[in-house]
Amino acid sequence: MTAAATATAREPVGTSRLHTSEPRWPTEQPALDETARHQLVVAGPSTAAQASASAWITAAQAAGTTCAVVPADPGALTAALHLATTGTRVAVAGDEVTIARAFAASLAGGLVATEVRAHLTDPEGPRPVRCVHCKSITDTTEPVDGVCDCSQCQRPLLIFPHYSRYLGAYLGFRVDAEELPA
Amino acid sequence: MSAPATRMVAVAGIEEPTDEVRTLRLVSATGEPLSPFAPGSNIEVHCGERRNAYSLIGDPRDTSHYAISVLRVAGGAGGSRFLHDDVRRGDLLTISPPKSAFAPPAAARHHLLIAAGIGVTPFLSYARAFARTGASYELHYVHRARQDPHAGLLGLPMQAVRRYVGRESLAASLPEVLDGARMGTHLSVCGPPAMIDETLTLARDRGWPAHRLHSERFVGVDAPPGEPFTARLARSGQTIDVPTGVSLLDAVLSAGIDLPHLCRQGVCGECKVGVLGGTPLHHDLHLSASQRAAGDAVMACVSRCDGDGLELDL
Repeated sequence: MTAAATATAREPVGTSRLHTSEPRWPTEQPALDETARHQLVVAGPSTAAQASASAWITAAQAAGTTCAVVPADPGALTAALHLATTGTRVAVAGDEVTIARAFAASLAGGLVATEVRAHLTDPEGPRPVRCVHCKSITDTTEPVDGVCDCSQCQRPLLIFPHYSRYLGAYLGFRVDAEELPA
Repeated sequence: MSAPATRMVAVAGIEEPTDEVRTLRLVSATGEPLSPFAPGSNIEVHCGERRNAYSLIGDPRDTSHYAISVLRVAGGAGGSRFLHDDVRRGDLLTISPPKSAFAPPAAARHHLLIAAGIGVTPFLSYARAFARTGASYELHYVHRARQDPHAGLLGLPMQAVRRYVGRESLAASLPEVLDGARMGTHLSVCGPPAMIDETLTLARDRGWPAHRLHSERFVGVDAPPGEPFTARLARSGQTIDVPTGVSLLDAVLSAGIDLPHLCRQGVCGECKVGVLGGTPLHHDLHLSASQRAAGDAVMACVSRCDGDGLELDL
């Protein structure tokens, strides 16, 4: 019912919300995976994200699991995963951009989705949108189904309700593409 | 779709790399080419009344011949004795087409293969496939002190193979091997059940999630005698009693119903039967946890009923 109602409310785009790839990151902090041998914790800069990371670090220490904190910068996580061994898990707290980048870096680094736990501490924060025209990613606080300008090619992008975990971004394409001259 | 047909092959070559192991080279006896197979596949060889499954150890793309390695099992039901003592070069054998039951995990960035004794056989076809695709792997192979290593290892790149003599030697190194496996590694293990269980338990204890763990066991479960129950066969309308100590498979066969079966140890999956009603009591090693929970299929050779009766799709 909720999905149908949402679809109606977002009628202008005409997309079905019944089957969507939009992520639903938990806003309640998930427990750490207690079967891990080593834990990498990634946190965004907000107070809430840092608090979430602290709680995870405390839990890891209590469980006797070794733990490392990685800056919320995809290069840092990629580097850490390059050295990581099987038995490692990733936990990430922050806004959608922080989670999306850490998740994509984790998958690229050889983890599978169940080896990553996420906590969306900043639901009002920006989300990443990938421009299908120039392939760059723009972070925007515009909602899904809204429009933002591509930070690279400046095209006005419709933020489509399709999300790629591997690219770590929503799909964005030129909102008036069909009205442009051929 | 008809059931996969058996086919005739001729024994084109026999090697006896050790007293206990015999390697047979099989070629098509009909002129029709053999089919390529997935790495880790096995074929069933008809050995008199019995059919035994053996891993194909050759190159999965090489359709000029199949090769199998047979360990002599002194206390076995006779299939391995037959292939050791009675089969000569030029003899004809009946085989089933290759069946893929232990294919390498496609998502692996690196394959950590651990084998004990004759359990190395599926990994010999893995290694030949990996040589073709460039996939990264390492093979840890343990054999007994008075047993020569499998000759098939000689064709593998030496830097990919680490040999151990005696189980203690492997057990001593295993924690370090598991902890050092780079992210994205999948573990595949083949050998006696106790060795598989120890390896998988150790891996889980060291943080390996279940989806990175794969195993193939050739020795299955001894089913407990269990409680008596009734099987209702939906298609034929028969009702048969399954007493304590008699397997569902034997009860069904005794009733004159042809139910395909092979290992009788809950391993191979050949005797899988659809369950339409009642709650199965699973003892097999074939079904996954989610398949078990679904309760819509049962391995007739070892599994029974949690309650009075099962309704089967037979």
